[in-house]
Amino acid sequence: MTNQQPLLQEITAFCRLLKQMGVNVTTTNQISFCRSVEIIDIGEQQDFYDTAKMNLIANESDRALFDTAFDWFWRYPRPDPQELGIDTDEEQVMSLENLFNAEETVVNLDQWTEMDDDKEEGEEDTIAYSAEKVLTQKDFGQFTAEEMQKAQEVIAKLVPLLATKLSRRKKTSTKGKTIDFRRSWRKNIAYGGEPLKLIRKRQKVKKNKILLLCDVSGSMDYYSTFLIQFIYGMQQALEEVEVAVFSTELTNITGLLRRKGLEEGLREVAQVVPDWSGGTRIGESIVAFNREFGRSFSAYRTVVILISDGWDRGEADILQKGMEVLHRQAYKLIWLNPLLGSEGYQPICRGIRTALPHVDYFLPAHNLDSLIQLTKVLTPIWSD
Amino acid sequence: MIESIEEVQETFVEQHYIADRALATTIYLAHHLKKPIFLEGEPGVGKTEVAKVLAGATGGNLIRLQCYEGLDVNSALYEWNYTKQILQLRIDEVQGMDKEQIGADLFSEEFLLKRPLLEAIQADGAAPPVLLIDEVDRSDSEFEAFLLEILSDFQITIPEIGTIRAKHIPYVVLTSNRTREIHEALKRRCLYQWIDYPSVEKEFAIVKTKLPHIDDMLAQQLCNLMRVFREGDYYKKPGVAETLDWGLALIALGKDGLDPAIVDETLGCIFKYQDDIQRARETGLDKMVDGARSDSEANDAEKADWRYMRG
Repeated sequence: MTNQQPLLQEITAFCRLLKQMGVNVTTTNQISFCRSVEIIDIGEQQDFYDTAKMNLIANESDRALFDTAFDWFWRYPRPDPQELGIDTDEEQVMSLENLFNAEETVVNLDQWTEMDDDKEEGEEDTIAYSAEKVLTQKDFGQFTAEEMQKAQEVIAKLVPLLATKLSRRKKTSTKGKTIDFRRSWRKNIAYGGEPLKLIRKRQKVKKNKILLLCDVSGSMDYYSTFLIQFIYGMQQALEEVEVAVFSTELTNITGLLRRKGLEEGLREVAQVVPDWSGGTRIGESIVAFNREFGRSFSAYRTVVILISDGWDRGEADILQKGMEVLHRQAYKLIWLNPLLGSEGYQPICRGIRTALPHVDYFLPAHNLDSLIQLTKVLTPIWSD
Repeated sequence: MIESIEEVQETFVEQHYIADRALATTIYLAHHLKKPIFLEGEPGVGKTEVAKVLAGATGGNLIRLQCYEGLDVNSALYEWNYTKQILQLRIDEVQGMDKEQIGADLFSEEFLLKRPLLEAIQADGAAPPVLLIDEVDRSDSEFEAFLLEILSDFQITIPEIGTIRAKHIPYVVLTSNRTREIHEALKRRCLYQWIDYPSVEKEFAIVKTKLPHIDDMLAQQLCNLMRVFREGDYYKKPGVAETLDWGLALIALGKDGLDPAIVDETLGCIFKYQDDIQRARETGLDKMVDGARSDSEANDAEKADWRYMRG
């Protein structure tokens, strides 16, 4: 801190930098950091670092980002301190982003919706005739940009319908056994405190949770984005949803989606996930998945939905072992496979053959119809 | 005790807890800013212990709220003692009390069952209490929202009685094992601290503090081997709690050094899953134990450190 800018302004600039990098620093955090700085010895570099960290980040997963920013901002002589003044402009944001994402390809929704633009020109007319009908049966992989948008609208309409259906079914479950004293007492005041009517509390069933494990390797990213959107959208009925994506490595993106909202979150996922659209190592990813999420299985009735086409480059016995553990721990294991929609498809590729014995449901997921089918499978699971 | 970061560290050592500087800084700041502490980390790294030690060090009461699926406001905050209320009504009746008087004070503090959160807010001891909200990740998101409200103003409104404000702002320690993601709004209210597995040196200091009778050589080998185990690919990696259990078991067996046979027999202290035990055996205990033993000779020089840390 050799420059003349007051510390407060430096701190504000630093918080801005973190925000631009996607760390959700609130004003309260910033104020709290400023107050903390007043009562520690900022000459102690380690204390200053610890203090900044505990005030400004709320996830261990943000730490790498924080460390990079911290090193760059506080420790080295910055290239030009003026640049990170209060008024950061577009250009700096860009250069900062380059700093952190230099080699990563940025794939965002907008880009890949345009990928198929040139193909399927003849399709346009049929769409105009009955867009929704045709759309429900068309493979996601063959969507044009326009159809993509349409399909998203359909999903947006579909989701609340399916969601209420799920939650309604749940309400008709069994009557409770324990007495709800609070409400019984209130009710019975009408009878002079005589406990004539007892109100029973419904035993809370073990909560359902969905863990989505999505393959985003080159062969799959197209479908996965759709499916994440679909299932994530049903959260209100599904209570608890966590999402992890993998191609060669596993990344938990639940926090990101929650922080940024679905749309922006998905757009950023591609930047956060190290190997979006790379090759596939299903086995290793499932083992990592078991390790990271395994502990949460016991607290919930967990339905694991695995979305993948089964093209695996990894070791078959790792996959075998991983699937076995996963199946044992999960309440139900569903494998959604977009290839199952194509005619004459036989699950012969090695990955799938190894994994199939451990799967409860093996379903297609290539068009909107198959998503509706998925809800039909989920409904009974939810209501028992 | 919380006048400086060093003082926090020293007081904790007196309470047999080795706190690194980052954690001590968190506690120091929590005291001065009156903010809750959010501790996250793998099971068995000593998160809950922090609250206990803090209570011991400050002389405040430890009030513990264990979270679980379906925890509701009635078991976390307060509930009316319905049985007592009904009995009171009956007594009033039998005594032939005036109609207007009957049941007049049924909703007063006398009939209130205090649950941990209310207890923490109403505490009026000399020192502020330490409120431990353990394993927040087990509760549901509705409860998180409720906590958010309590932790921001430390007051509770009971419709029948009125608003109760905290006399002392309690120290609040929240812990999470990360079985699910906690909402950021809650974490951002707190000073966030990730607690990692300790380094070999720190673990050695912990072992010597908690098990003063353990042989230095054995303790060193124990910690070396633990590090090896934690680097391996196990379903549930052993925490500090396991190290201490294991140490205790080895003392009971009268051992002053490790050998592959004894490690094999006591693997149950370290791993809690059959698969992990199997894997440890497959990896080759002989080699790992040998490694741990030769490392411990090399590390002899570092032993002076823990004495310093104990103060």
